[in-house]
Amino acid sequence: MRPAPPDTAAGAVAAEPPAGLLTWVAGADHKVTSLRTAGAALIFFVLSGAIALVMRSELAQPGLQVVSDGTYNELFTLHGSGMIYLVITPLALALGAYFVPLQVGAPEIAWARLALSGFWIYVLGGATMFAGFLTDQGSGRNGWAPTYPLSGDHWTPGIGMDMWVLGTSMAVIGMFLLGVCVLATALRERTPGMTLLRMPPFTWSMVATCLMVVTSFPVLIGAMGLLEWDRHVSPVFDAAGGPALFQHLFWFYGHPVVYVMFFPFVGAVAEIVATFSRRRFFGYSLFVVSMLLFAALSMSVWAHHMFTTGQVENRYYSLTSHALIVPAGIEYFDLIATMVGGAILFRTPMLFAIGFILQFLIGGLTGIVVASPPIDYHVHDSFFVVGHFHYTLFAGSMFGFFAAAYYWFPKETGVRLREGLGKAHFWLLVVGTNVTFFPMFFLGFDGMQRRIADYPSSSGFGDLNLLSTIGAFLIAVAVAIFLVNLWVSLRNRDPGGDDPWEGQTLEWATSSPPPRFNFRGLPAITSFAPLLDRREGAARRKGEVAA
Amino acid sequence: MIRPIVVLAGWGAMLTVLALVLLLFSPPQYEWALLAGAALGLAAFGVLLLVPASRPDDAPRPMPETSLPTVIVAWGLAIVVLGIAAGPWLLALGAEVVALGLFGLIREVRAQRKERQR
Repeated sequence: MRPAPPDTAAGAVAAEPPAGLLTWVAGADHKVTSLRTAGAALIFFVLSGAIALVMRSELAQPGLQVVSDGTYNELFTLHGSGMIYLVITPLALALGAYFVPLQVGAPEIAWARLALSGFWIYVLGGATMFAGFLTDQGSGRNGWAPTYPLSGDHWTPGIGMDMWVLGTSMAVIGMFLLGVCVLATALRERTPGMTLLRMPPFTWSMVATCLMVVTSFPVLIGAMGLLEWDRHVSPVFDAAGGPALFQHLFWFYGHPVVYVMFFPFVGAVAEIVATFSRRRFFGYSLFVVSMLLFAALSMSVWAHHMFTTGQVENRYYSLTSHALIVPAGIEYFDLIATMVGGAILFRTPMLFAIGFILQFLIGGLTGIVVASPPIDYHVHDSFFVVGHFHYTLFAGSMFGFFAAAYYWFPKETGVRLREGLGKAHFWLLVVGTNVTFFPMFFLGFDGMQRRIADYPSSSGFGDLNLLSTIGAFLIAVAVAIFLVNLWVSLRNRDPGGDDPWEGQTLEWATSSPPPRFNFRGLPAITSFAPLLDRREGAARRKGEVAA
Repeated sequence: MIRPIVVLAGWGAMLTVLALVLLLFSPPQYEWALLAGAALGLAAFGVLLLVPASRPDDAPRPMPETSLPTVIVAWGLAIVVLGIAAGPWLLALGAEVVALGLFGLIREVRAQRKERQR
């Protein structure tokens, strides 16, 4: 063992943090900040998920049975906004805030106070967004991706919409601050010996993620500021080309944020696949390059969301959108090649990782479909698109999140989640996810529009919608099993030890949960998988002694 | 050994190339300006990286366990933002909360520095 970095060995910093309310409100430890963010995101997940169930109940059969058109507009707005601004993005960045400092051997996240303020600004933004429901004219009702002039004061008056705009801005500012801290940690807080090309795949995925955060999130903050200015001070977007400009500003954030929501889970899945295949991750250098290329390309495809406006250069955006296949293919190749020849253990984290790989593929392949302008003209604003992005963000990102949750829960808490409940959660979620979202491709291709509360009974959409609603309730049961698993596992603790999975990266070299400043000593860092190096070295020495 | 600034510069170069390819299609100015602006935004972050690391390897760094003033500043900023919709009275209140938090934050940072010097 190498000695710990001087500050982690200091007596003052080895002290345990004071427990209690103050720690939960104002604790500057990155682990507390991360868990707070993840906890808040899970609360917003339950709220936004409950909204989805109401929407699916409304759509189960033709006619208006549950909510009015206006209320439905508010519901799909808060469902989408909640999941994107308040759930998946924060979960992805919270994962980075917890594990990037550990994986690079840092005692703390860079600019811990900034990360702490980021959490509070985010959570207050989320509360503001949802509080719009309590206003006279209701909450925001333009979807998670508002268009102008619909989002202007004339068509959507009322303070509820303002609260949505401001709440969104705050949530994005909060996550921007957290992203800046994670990126700075990876780039400048690494322990000696942890060179950039020894950072684990997950940390690299966070670097790529946070590069997109620092370059795209400020644009949305600016766009929302201008929208609010337009609503209350003087028109900004109502000149010729103004609505298109607003869409450009929005989608310059709106497309990269999709990658912000799944890159960290690609990185997490890479770690999980390597650990449970008992192999070193295959093609590390190429994976790193492909991540950075993927992130750069993702910044250049935003206007494919505007193919049908006739105001963008479709050829360029179609070209760059199709080019995304190259880095995505490299990553898939690396993930599969890591498994080939491995001694695969099908534990719950690995099941979710495989679920991520297979289902995200459906999201990716249907992405190629909508990247072609001629087909996009047919399926634009239809349920096909809804199916596509739910395969990306739910069947992909949330499966990646659950994989990460089962994998790293023992590190965060010192206890394992129940394997039986985990497998029930997985299989029910697989069935629920596919029953919910796969019919949407057929519905969309046959012409069912998105963002509608009703459809004619003569359309023939009823059966597939009913199926989709049944699937949504299966998902709810699966999520309930996960929450029960959290509760049961924390109540009746099954200690996981410091390294229950034989992990390969530095977080497994410290106690579970890690101490305040993370490490009391660090092993030699010889590659991106230092613990695997140590085990292989020990096995070699044992073999030599035996020989 | 690759330096962090190379990662930023390399990624910024990728964005610049994509912006240049977009230029070939003669888009409205703001489209390529967005991409090129993102590449420039990276430069701003690069400047932040040039600030000396707060964790010099040869000196212990006393770090706060909790930072209530930070929370107060965050709440104050949130109130200021809400004041945009609710009116100047809330803006003023938010500004006061921010000022209070900043005062606490300055005290906290000074105390931290004193401890480091000790």
